[in-house]
Amino acid sequence: MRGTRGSWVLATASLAVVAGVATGCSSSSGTATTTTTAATSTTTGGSTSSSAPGVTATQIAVASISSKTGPLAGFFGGLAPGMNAYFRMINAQGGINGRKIVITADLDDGGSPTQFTQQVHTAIDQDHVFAVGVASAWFTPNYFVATKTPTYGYNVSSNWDTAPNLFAAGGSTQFYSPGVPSLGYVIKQTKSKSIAFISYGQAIASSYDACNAFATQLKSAGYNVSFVDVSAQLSGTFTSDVQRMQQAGSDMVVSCMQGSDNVTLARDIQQYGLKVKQVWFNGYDQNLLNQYSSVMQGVYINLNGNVPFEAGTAPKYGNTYPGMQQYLAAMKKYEPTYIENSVAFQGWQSAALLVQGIRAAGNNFTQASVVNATNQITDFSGGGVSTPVNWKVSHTSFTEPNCTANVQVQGKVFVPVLAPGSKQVFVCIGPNAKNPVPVPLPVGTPGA
Amino acid sequence: MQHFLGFAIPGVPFGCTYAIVAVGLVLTYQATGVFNFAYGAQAYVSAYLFTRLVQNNHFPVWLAFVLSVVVLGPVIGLAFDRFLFRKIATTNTTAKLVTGISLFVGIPAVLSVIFGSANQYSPPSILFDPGTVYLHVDGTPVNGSAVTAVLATVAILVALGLVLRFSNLGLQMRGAVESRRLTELDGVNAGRVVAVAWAISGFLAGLAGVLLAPTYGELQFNDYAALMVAAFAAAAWAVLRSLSIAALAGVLMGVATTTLQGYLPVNSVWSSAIFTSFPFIVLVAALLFVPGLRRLDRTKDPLSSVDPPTPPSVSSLRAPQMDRVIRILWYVLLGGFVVSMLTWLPTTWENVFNAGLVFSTLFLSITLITGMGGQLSLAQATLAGVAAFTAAQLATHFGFNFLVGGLIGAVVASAVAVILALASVRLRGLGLSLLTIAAALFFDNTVFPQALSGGHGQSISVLPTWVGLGVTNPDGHAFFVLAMVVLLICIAGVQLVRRGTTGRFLGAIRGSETGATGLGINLTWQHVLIFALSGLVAGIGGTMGAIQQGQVSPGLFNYQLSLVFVVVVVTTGAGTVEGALQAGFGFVVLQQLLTYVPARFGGNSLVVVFFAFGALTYAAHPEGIVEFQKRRWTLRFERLIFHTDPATAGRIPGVSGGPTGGAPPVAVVEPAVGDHG
Repeated sequence: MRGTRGSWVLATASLAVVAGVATGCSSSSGTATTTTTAATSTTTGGSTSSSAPGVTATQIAVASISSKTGPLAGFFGGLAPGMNAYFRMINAQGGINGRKIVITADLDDGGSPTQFTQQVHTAIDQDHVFAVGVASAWFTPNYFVATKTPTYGYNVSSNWDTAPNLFAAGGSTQFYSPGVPSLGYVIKQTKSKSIAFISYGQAIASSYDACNAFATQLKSAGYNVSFVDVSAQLSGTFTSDVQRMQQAGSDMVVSCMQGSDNVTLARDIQQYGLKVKQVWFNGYDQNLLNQYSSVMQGVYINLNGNVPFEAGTAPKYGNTYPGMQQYLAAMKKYEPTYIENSVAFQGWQSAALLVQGIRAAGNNFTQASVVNATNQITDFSGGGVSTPVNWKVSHTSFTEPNCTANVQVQGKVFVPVLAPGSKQVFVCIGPNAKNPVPVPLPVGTPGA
Repeated sequence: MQHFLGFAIPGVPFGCTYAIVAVGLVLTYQATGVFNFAYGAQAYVSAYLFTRLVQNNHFPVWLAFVLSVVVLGPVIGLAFDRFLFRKIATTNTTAKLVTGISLFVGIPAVLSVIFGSANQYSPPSILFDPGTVYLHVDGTPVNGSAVTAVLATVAILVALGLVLRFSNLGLQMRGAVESRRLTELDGVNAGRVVAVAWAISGFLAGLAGVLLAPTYGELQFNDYAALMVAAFAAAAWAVLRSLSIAALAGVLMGVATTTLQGYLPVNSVWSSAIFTSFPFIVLVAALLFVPGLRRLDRTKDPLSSVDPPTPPSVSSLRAPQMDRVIRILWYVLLGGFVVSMLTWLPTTWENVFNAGLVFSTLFLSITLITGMGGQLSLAQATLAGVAAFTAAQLATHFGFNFLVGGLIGAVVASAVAVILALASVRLRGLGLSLLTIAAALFFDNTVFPQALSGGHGQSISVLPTWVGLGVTNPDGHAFFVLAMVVLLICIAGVQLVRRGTTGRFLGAIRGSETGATGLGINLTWQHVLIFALSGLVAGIGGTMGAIQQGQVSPGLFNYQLSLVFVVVVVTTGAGTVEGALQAGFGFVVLQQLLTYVPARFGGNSLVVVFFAFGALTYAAHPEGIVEFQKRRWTLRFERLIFHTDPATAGRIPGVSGGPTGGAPPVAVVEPAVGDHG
């Protein structure tokens, strides 16, 4: 056993050092420096006591975990800025019953599943935060569920539907069937006859599931699905797909890939002279458009239930979308770098749901009471930036009708299109994919 | 025919970049004897700087090209030579490989620390607009990036060929790689020749980097890792010797990849994975069927045998008094550790140390294969993943307990390791490393994504009911007990192997294969056996890792982690069990400590940078820089406290009073690491 002794000296020495650190410190934050140790119970001024972790008489501590470095950083780094802007806006209005809500731990998983798990423990056990916001492909729900921590964020891993304390922006379950009639509506409106689909393989579930479901169900509904590739390679080359679309006579291609691959596909389409309309589910990014406006011309981008940023700025909409105007103003003031960042937008909605849940739970809130109160909210729209989400059912099911906003690239800008009214950005479609007909916007839908 | 050309022509620009990189690899290898694993990282640095200068700083393209390719490329090459590879020119292949791997892992992390991680969209082209079609070949459009790639490749290869063929430089390069020391005796400034080769190779890397960039919508390091492996395959078919064959093989690789992609049925796993898997298939084929590759690691330098042996480990040098103190301290601290874990330690740190136990178990597999077997396997995370995915599938489809499934999975991982061992039975050093990384990438791109079926999303959650015994309870106590028991069993197993016949045989093989064969040791059997054992331990570590993480996903076991694992373990010491433990705990503790540092300072990239720098010292300290420092300080401490000197006390081999001079008997000294390459 001679060979093993030194290691234990070192390991246990580091343990001793770490123990000293662990008992008195919390994580550093990129956005705030407040230190929280454990649940407190005090009364100051108008604030009442709380035994919830991360809650003091003056503050509610929240953590964010996202991929800030590593290969996916560009996609998920906007979560904390979006949340932060909303919290700062609320704090400027006096906070929540006198408490300021603050991101005390802005954690980075480095694009690594191992590090993600470690940061979950850091946020919950070391920083004792009240709630956590997440934007990571490596989200795994186990510890959030075990500790019943209110958890909010961006669902890119298709596993948020496992517990009532997990709240993904827009609903925790990813349903693709309700989106089929909406896609059928776009196909009819653009007079497309022959549809191609392209997505990554099963390893990237959100991409594969979406296009696979759309292709299968539209085919069943009688549409001419001329080409399907649901096994494309991330950062791959798409020339062979484009040639096959050409041979199949496709006049529309629906892509469930990420923005940069959509651009590569669009460039191949352009260079092969293929005359197709394109529908993307990713790529609503002004930076991307600035770089690739020539290949993105005419592309339709489906925004699901999110109000387009343009609805808050274009004169034709006036003050129809005050929620979006508020979002843009707050982001401009607090996080100007991330104004038109789709993940920051998810962060904003996540923060709004948390705040609404805390307010609904009353002064003596706990994690459990906030989760319960949130699950009673039936018309959450993030202050008017998305279609309403019914959290009584949105962990496991979907509320008809499906309402989506679509934008089209025209020049150097995105323009909301395909909505029936002049000031509407959403179009809601009934369940019949064969005959997709717009139905009235449900009460609470922005612009209704 | 139109179909064929339509599918083949888009592969030409890829093939051109493969060709340039393959030529650069062959050139460096021929001139310096170094197989530059960091080549993809070099290409990425130039492409990154070029894109950043054009997009963010609005430099003219020509100026950005000059700075990032003409200046930075050769500077990086010269820096590699001056500060790293020149110092290890006469060391074994393993040392050179570890240095290259450290750079491959460390360079992107350094970039991330310095520049952050913002997306770099729309990498520009150095000559023609990628968005414009300049001509059609049989109806197939050829855009600006393709034209640029072809023109640049032809120009640079012709120029390089002329210089090497009609100048003294080529002759001097071959002389330098044959024996740098003998070449110098012949009056040639070998250092200058090698430096020129590194500069040219750095320029080629930078050029390949900026040529590849516009092919994609976004600049990502992963694309450069894929480029590197494709170039490995091309260079392998050229037996790392012929520049023209390497160039031709590179172009054919690119063309064959897109052509196959076009002809294979859509929606099959093969068409999905062909772009990334094809180079690995070609590489494996080259390793198995090109006889010249098996002779790459046969030492050519007649003076190499004068290199000193690896120093003995600190544990074999300690004075008896010091040993007693450390033994007592070990028991006290082990007891303190166990009590702390089960009582007062915060859950965060309990989880960190639980992860440390898991990584320590996994890293023991590297102790076996690298420390004892003397081989550098770059597929240890893959073997861990094989076991974890097997356990997950058995639990999902057959209701197996995850621990039982994990044991079966470990056996499966061991079987996969045996297949790798049998495939690589004639390979050593470089060839073996290339084979294992090829296998790792094949599993990443083809096997693991398929193994996700039955899971949900990008991972399979390990459900508490699969494991039982409260092992997944949030307090982590039950997992700690389990992980501790598993680790101790694995340590005991490794120690048994080390002290047993296998350990002694492996020690003899590391000392001299010829001598070991003369003693009647079956090299093939020992090679297969150590791979099997290493796979088994990696599989056990992988299963424990999956339980601790609560999920099984390809990201937990990708090839990059295999490289990082090697870098981490060789920093602390691959030759000893304590090195694996230090690596396991050091890796996770450092990561956790960095959560106290604002993310803008680099976050987790700093961990990789830290260990990459540590591993760069491998050539000087093959026992591990941590092991080296431990020996140094332990002996100083002994002198101070006990007034003993290991040299005069006869505990340093070759010194008066110590064991007989020269190479120490293998049974006496702790195993050295990879000392025959």
